[in-house]
Amino acid sequence: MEHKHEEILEAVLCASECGKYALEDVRKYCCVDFSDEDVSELERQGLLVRGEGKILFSREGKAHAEKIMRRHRLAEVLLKSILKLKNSEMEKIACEVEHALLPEVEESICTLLGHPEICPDGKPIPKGPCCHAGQRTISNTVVGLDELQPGEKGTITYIKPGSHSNLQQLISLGLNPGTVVTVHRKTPAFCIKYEQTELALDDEIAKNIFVWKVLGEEGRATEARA
Amino acid sequence: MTICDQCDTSCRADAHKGPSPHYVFIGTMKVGKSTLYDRLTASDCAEIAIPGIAVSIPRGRLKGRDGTALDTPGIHSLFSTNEDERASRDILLSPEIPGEDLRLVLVADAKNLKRTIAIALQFAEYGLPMLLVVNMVDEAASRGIEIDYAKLSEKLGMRVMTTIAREGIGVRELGRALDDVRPMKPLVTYSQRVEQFLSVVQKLMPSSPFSSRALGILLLTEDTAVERYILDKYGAGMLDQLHRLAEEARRERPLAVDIELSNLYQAEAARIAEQVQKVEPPTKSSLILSFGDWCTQLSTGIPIALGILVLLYYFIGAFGATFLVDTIHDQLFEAHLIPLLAALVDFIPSALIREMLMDPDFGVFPTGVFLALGLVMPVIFCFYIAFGFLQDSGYLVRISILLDRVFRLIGLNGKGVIPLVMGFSCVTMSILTTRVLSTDKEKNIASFLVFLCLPCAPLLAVMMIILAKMPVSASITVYGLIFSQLLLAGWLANKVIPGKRSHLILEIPTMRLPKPWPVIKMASQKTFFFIKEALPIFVLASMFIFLFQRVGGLNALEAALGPVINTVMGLPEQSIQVFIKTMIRRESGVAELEHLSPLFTNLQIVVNLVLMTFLAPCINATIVLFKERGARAGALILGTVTVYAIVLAGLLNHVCRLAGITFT
Repeated sequence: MEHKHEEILEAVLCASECGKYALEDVRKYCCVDFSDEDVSELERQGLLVRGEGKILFSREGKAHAEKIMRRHRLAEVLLKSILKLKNSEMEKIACEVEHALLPEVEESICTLLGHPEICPDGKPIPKGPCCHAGQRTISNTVVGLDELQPGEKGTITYIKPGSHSNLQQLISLGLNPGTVVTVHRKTPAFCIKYEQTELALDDEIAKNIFVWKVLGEEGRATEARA
Repeated sequence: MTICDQCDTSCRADAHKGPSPHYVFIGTMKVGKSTLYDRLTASDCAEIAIPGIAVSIPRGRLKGRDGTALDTPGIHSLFSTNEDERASRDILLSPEIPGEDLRLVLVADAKNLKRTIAIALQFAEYGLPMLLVVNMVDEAASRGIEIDYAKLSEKLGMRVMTTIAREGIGVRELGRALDDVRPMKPLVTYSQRVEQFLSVVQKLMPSSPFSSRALGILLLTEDTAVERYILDKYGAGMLDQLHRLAEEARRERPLAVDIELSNLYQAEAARIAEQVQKVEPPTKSSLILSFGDWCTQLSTGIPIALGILVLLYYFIGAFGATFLVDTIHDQLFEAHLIPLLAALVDFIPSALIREMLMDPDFGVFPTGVFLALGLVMPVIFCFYIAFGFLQDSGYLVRISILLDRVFRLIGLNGKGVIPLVMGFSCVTMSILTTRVLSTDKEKNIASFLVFLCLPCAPLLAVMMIILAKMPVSASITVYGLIFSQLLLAGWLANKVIPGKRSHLILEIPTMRLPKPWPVIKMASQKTFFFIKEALPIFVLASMFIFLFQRVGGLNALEAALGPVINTVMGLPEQSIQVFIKTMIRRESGVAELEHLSPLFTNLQIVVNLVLMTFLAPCINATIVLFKERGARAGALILGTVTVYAIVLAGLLNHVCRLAGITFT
């Protein structure tokens, strides 16, 4: 989804928290300019419903907006209480972070902060699956690719340039930050799959590729039970 | 390695007639460059040597049109330092080819479009006329990848053709499209500092046959080939000046320039790929893909590997070395050729020449021509077919993965499988193939092991024929010694040879059913070139031995060395002629052993076979060893191998005698 559309959904949620539903109110809460066409687009996507001068959420729209809001406010808490940033800077960075935060990272931050319920401005933070499960430990930190088990996925965060020519070759093979790789097997050689490529790597190299573990539906369920 | 390495140079002259376009085929590994090249060029071929690069590039005349094609090794990126990979860009700087006539044919694998787009973006900087061929479109389609070729063509600003090279689909259209090549506009914007540097370079060297931006980019990465090119063309002053400018542009950068640039190309390529392709992976994978997966899984991979080994044994050993060899010998030689030749030779007045040709022990025909054609040729042919199937199906890479851990023990990684397997065809070729390895240590270890104890196909063939007549214990002893010593010597070499093993990064190609016809065609060509090269040496070697024997040299040598050979290794004096022939050409020596085998006891044959396998291979291999590894490493390897062989054969002889083992 486009950043602008995410901002609109967020603004609709902000406005509704104060009991306001008119288009002008939404505009006031939104940090970007948007046109009627943008709202119509969201309506086409089935996220918003317009009627009698009011803008209301559909069920999916509400869930979507809450996710964005959750990321935004979690980022605010992190920046304010842990990193001690000033309000003005905090707001700006939080606005950028909300679009980029991966779901796994979001859970880790929430857990790290002790599942906060309100943001620094005193507004509620929508709960996520980790809050409902009362998760206490972070399962998601950046780990070496070699720590993943066969079948597990990870999003590459960075590659430590162990040897320069290796790094060059890995980049050329499309192993850049952001690429999601699946560990296929670890013996007899470390094999990974990504996009349409299957690659065998030395353990040494796998150790130097750092990833965010991507939790599948199954992984989440186990985490929740734990 | 292609057949062109062994091809004669007669067509080289044709390639130089008049100005005609040179189409350079470039692309990443395993995208079908060579298949397309083979389909587009006439069968006569030559090779082109590039200064500073040991890899030679096949060059062929295009079928039905003016121009030549050059087939380069696969590359990962413009900045690779690997010798093979550098060839594809250094060829553009080569004085052998006038830059004005250069055209690029970029070959892509439809499954991995992004990677080729990144290469396209890099080569776009040269400003040369270019064409993109997207190959293996069928494999991409079967994986649910849908590509909008029109959009891709529009985005890249060049013509895009689609092919399935293995089936020959789209090849004719591609041939016609070669006229419509045009320069692609550079699409990547670099940082301000890099752009500034490039514009200065363009001002300083405007007269380059291609855009000097490419030279500038390579200069930034301190590429030696480009530095040499500039030195030749513009002089030391210019190079010095550019050096300083590049140094300035590089300063205070967080990342090495080549990494920074690669990231830029990859990001842009990803952007373009995303716009032109849709991926909807199919839910079920096909049987052949699953089979490919089983090959790299320990529990299923080992039985599969053993099964394939048995199949190979039956194909090369039972079918090639026994059935084919016997048939050719009985039906062709015994029944027709030998009586015919005997009748013809009878007309020759000189007794000496008659004997030189037909002497059963030293004659040119029985110990030269018939051995080469009747014994070696069928086996080599079967080996090339088997090797072709393994390579074409993608199995060879899978065996590399399966053996990676074992190879680490001997200081190599899975990639070492390729030269070692090649060693079973020809040791000389195998030493050349060690170039695919990354570090000097690995090249030294692989060369040493191949040189020490890999039996080449002809040796293996005759070995199988000889051992088949003996009890199984003889085979177990010979093959067991070869295998165990390979591991032991490798393990020791790993401890002794300084340097580092490189890390494995190996792309696993899709498993597929090989096409029999191209494999057989390729095997026939390779066998033909092999025999063409080997036959004269076989003939010369037998003539040499015949004359040497006639002047009494053989007797003298036997008298001088005989006692030593006899006491240390328990071998009869006649093994001297086997050794002389072995040195000239390994397979001719072992063929001689087969010829002389009635004079040997079984134990002596076993010891002799082991000694021959471990003692230095033929002269060709020794020359190539010194050329590839340098005088010092070459001499060390040769010396170690000689001592190793004599000690091992001596030990084997004495242990067997003490234990009373006679292999009868």
